[in-house]
Amino acid sequence: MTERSTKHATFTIERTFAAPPPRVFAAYADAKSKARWFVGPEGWEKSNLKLDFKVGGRESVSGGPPGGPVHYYNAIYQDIVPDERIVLTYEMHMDKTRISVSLGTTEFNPAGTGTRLVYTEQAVFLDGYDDAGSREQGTRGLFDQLARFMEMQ
Amino acid sequence: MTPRSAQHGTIRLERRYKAVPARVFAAWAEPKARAKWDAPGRWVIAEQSFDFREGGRERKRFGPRDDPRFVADTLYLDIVPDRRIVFSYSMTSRGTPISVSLTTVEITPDEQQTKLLLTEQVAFLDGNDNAANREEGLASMLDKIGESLAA
Repeated sequence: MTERSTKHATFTIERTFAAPPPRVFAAYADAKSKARWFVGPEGWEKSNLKLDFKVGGRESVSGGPPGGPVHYYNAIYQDIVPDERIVLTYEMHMDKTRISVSLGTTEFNPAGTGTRLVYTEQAVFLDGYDDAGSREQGTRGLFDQLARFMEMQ
Repeated sequence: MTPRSAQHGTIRLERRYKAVPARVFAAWAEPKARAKWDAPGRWVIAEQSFDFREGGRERKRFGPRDDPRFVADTLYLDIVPDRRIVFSYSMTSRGTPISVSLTTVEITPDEQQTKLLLTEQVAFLDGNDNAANREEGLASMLDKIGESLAA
């Protein structure tokens, strides 16, 4: 019998961007834009990102290191306020095992002529995938990629 | 223009029921059993659909008898029979966002009883609800589960 366990955790990441909220929001809402920055680290094998950006719509992408486990991301959009807020839930599988489920809130606040983005993730890690901060670290990596993407716009 | 906000909170509630884990799980999994407790206090359920399986979606409209204006849209994310249920739900009132929740229900045998641990991670939206109020509602429903199991 599989040992069942859960670990609940919350973390928050804040970033500022020179671009105003509608432009940062567009990097989330537009599938081609999001596929540019919402991807695994350099060197990973990746699938194409699929995005149906509406309340009740789904998003999926997968990837992993060559020869290593495949990480599957599957999300569903729960609340969208254009240019202001996105709330979604997503689950992560490593190969066939579900390792976590998360509630993610992204807030796009005006800051001068730019944007202060606040991302809050409330997660439950399942059955021993006690992730000891690696989820937060990985998510920070995604925001680094978003920052580079925004700079190129 | 609505001033937008998101307040994040985590609610934890624990109950012990005089029933085996399978019956406590059935209180969530079986439509007839769930209909007995799935609204807080004296509120009523005006409409409810059931689709209890991983990936299943349900919709429930509920609230005070004279104005059941709240809609909960649920998505089941992880189900381990007799042990664990993880689901998300968004709550709206006539289209106005109230909250989005990620809820974990853990069921474990505890001597002759069953322990239920509910953890709800919530984003309360635009000031339309708060953790104290939500906790009171959830506590009321967990108490009703106990009454339905004793009946």
